[in-house]
Amino acid sequence: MDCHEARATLWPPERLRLAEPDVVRARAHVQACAACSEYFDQDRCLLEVYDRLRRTRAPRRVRERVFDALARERAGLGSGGVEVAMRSDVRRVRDWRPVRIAAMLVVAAAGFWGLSRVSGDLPRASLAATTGDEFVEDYVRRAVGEDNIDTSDPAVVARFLVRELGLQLRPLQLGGLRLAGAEICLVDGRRGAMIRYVAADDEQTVVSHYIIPSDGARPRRPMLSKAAPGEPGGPSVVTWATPSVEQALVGELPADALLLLARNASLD
Amino acid sequence: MSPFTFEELASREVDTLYQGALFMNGGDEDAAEGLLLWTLTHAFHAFRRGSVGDPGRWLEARLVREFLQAAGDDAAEPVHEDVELGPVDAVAELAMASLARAAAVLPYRARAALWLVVFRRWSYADAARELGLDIEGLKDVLRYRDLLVRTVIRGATRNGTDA
Repeated sequence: MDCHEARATLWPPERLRLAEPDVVRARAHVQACAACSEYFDQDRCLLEVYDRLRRTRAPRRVRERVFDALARERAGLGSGGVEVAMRSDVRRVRDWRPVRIAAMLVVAAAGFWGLSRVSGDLPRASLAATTGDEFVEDYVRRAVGEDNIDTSDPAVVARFLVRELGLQLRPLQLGGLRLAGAEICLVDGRRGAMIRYVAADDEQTVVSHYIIPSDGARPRRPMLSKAAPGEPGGPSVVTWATPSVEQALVGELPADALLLLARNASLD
Repeated sequence: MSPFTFEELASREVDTLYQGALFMNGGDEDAAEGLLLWTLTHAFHAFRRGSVGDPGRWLEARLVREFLQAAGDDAAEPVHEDVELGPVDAVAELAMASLARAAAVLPYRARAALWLVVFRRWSYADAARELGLDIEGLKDVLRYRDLLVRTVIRGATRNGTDA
């Protein structure tokens, strides 16, 4: 077995393998070959470097642009058509800047169109009459900001909800559970919040309260979701809705206990 | 139907993909941002159309594909041998930007291959298939790993002597 074959057989080295004949031969080769040993040593070094580096977040500006673009695609205002047309003329796009500038112009034009609908040149569209797509861009774009807080202070969570969702809500008071924090979530393309609770006597027991603003939500009482998994030990799900908010409690508690928590503490 | 939205997927993968875009574009942040935007906006529509298997791998493959498509005929050509890495005290303290700039000495296809195989740990077979190479062809481009390592070390050494 030569070096290339040995390296290919053992790649990636951290993956567990059965001791099949070719694996045994490859390992024997590496042990006996200084070049292959050094190759895998370098690989470990490079991987350690990369493992550290890949935890570095993309710049906030980049994340914002990504989610801006996705929000426009979802709302049907994306520049995909223009980009496709440009692509056929620019085969070797080593410099992406012309494409980005064109995309920015389309985005700016779409934004201007959106603004002009409100400014009065065209019939003014009331917010109540909109489909909600206009909010998706801002909602999703905010997702790149501070989206996770650890706190047991209900006032801090309440301010977080006002800032991130525009909702005047206070966290539920759930018997036997204490507040642990909140974070932004995306559910079916809609931006909401997930408030975390842990059991007062067992921090491994976590209950999550999902809050998803939804203009069309019809009020309904808490009920055990049909989607709750049937496997023993799996999380239970209780859903309900108030006029503008879809809500759910998800946690690894007995279903009837979770339902009781929701019924005793549902938001108005 | 996917249990998660594309935005959720993008949120999970955007950092990794950005680093890959930065690496393949030799540290050019503008180019990396453009590649990332292009890839994700196109992937958004493909995601809605059908099953993607391992979503992380799927996005990595799309990123590489978009990069190589743009590189076109130059994908296999060496770029240039000399590159300034900037301040690097030691390989262990390497910043992603420095590692990405070191990749600028490599041909485009080699950058893509190294990112998939060395950093994203793709198997040789999967990487070869994605890059349009046979296994031998992949092994040839993976030889550029040595040049990458030498470039990184040269940058670290140069900075050390400057200090």
